[in-house]
Amino acid sequence: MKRPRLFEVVLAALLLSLVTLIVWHQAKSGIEAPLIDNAEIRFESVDVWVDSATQKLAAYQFELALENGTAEIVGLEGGDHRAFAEPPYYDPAALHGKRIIVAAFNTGVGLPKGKTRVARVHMQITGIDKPHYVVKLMESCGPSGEKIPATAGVN
Amino acid sequence: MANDFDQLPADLINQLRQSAQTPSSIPVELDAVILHDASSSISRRRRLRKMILAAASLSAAACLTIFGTLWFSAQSYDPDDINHDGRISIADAFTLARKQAAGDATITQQRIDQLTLASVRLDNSGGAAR
Repeated sequence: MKRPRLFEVVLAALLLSLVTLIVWHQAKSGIEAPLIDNAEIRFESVDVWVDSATQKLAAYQFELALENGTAEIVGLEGGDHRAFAEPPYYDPAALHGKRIIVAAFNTGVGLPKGKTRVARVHMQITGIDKPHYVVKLMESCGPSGEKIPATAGVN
Repeated sequence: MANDFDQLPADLINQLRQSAQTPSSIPVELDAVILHDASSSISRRRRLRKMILAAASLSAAACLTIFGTLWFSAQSYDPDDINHDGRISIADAFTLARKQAAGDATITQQRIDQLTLASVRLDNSGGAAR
């Protein structure tokens, strides 16, 4: 059998390298193109907390609004404390919008005090701008239905 | 006293009697003018009193109407405003839920859900009064 000459080996190696480069480039561009598109859309969650200080929180209602940025509400879940672990009430029409009113109550006895996360709102963000959220506490009630002072915010 | 009076001289008695007599002749015109002035003054006072009374009555009626309307409107709450705080919110649903939990069988879960959904509706901005 004839032994390959050095020239043929180098040529084959070059061809192989070229083909590899072409395939790699094709694969890379095929993968990267959608990655670039997806990078414009991302998801994040916004934790909303209510701080009722030393009093028990039995019911709350807040409004969350997107002040700037391009984002829309895509989902909602409950909070940390078992009293508000169930998904809270909201208007389904708020989904895919920039404003939502969220509320929940609990007639039980195990109620949270102090600062507690009451809801988590999932957002779909378009673009690179960081959205800014504003939360307005509309109601906060104690176990007897009385209005109690409280504050709210987002993390 | 009668004895003292009888002891006065007759001339003095006559002079005293004459000086104590009321003038007998007041001109008719003057009398009419005085009467007319008095009558006009009394009529003015009566008219003024009537006007004040009428104004006071109207004011009282207006006040009663305004306060009545305000009171009636304050009493006529939205049926969804359970706690009568002038707005629909989760506090209303919570009030019903507490009553239901306490054993009030007249409150249905459907009614509570209806109130809860009303409180989170997007057009219920700020829990504003309806």
